[in-house]
Amino acid sequence: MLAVRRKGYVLVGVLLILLAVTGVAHSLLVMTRSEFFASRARWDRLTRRLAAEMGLKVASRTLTGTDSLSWGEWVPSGSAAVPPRARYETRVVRLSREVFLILAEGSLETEPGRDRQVGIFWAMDPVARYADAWAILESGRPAQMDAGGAVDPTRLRDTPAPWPETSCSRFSPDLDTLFHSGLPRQGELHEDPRAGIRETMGSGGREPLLPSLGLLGHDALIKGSDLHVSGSVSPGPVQRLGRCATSSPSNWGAPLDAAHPCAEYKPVVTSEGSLVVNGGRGQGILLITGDATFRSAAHFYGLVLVAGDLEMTGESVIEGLVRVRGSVFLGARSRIVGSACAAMSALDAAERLRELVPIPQSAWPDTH
Amino acid sequence: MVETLVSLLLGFAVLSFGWGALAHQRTVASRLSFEMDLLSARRLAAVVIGKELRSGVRGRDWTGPALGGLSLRAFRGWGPVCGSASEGRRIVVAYHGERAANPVKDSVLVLTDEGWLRADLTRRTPGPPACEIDLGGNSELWTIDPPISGALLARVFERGSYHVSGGALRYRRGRGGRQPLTMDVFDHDRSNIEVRMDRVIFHLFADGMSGGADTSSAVLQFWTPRTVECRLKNC
Repeated sequence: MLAVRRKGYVLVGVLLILLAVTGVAHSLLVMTRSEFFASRARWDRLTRRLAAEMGLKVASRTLTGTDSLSWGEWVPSGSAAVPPRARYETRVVRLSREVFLILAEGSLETEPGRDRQVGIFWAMDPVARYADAWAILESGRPAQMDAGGAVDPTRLRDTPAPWPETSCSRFSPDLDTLFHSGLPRQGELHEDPRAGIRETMGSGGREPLLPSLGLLGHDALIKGSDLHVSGSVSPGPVQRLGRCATSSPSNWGAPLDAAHPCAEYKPVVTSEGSLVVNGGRGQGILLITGDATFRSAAHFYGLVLVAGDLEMTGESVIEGLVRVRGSVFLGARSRIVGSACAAMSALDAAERLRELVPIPQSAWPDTH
Repeated sequence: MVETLVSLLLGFAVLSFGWGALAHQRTVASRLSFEMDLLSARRLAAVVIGKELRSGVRGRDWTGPALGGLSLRAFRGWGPVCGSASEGRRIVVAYHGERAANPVKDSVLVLTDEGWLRADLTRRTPGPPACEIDLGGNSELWTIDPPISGALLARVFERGSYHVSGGALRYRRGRGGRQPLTMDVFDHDRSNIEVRMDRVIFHLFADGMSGGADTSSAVLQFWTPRTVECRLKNC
């Protein structure tokens, strides 16, 4: 009996088609998986970058009061885990008295690889600010003085009389490194009563703007204020239950009483508009966006920045440094006593003005 | 006879269906492959341009408004200055970079206490280890012109520009040719780069002739940091 051979064309064809469809499905799977892994890698990289940027921001916010870093010191400034799986580490180096470099590295706890961000920041330094513009009085227009009114340069490096000698001695080594042969033209200051005066300050444009302190302009200075006042003030120290009442707008510290609870309180006081200081005493930094008037026996220690004009009458005295956008008038018995110590200690105490601020657009990814 | 006819008809139907399915699958696979290339190209554009723009400043390192291309300073490395000589003509830098600094095509931005100053990089040699502390990077001695005293930090950059031409995102270094960074997946006529005052916009349309749908387009917007800050603070 002859065997009948049957040919399964259909079965073979179906198998071939199934094979082809499987191949196509596999290629789709491979493409989908590669897209998935590419997306995940991008997500991981973004997470690392954001962690590094967070480190940069945290380090710049927490590093206030720059005395803890000596020049060129390269120290870890912080690290933290950012839930759920990222972490950052930061290091900071002081490039100059006022310029800081912060390097932040972001990483994942489960994956290798690091993303680095570099940031350049600026923080106000009292010694650098003084060295940058050491004139006792700087104004936008010529200073007018009645006979007897004076800008006294003879006590520029002295500690003000009621303050302990230690108040400013810590600035001396830094000043000595900046001015190797003593303060500039200090000898001339004794001979020429106008030598400590500079009349070169710009007007600040149409809007009256406060003289700047390095990168700290009008808005940044006001933002860093401790107290806001207006109109007429007779400042004097205020204590409650043996503590300095720092919330009182008329409490500008106790410069003449070393035993007072407010002896070390040197606030940044802002007047948005003109201000009359009618007698009284105070210390710190005084920011006046309008005109400033000191009357009767007003006595202020520190730094005074005025966007308008300055008028001093009666026996009013400012010990420190003065910057005025407009004109200056000194009455017969009023004086500006140049004092680097008073100005620098006021700048040193202004912690909110000493926070790190980014140098404009000076942060970038480090991709090496 | 009937069995033969039925099996032939059935076989023809199965083969016809299978052939159609295969053809359709091939179209889908081709389209998917193109979409993947398109996604990769867009992703690459977002990463590369995002990094370039984050490294610079509008107005200083890239300017607008402009249409057709993004011309910028492309930063390639940086380093703290550990020492200087010849009144600031020669500086020792602890260099970190994605490539070595090249005096032929690179310039430098130097940070001082007064701000950023630009100089030409005229010479670069391995330098003495001048940094008192370990800052990482390679110690290099650079000669710059004009000299800059009080240098604190230096950044290396080259002049470059990005374009969408010939269907691809391309980078042109200096006055050289435009080198493709992506595959040819964009519609040459409709895709472009628009530089505005507050942002850079990449209009990336898929190339319909290569399998992309006419409606497949992406708009990548890179906002300047200040603009982002203002948007968040509603200023």
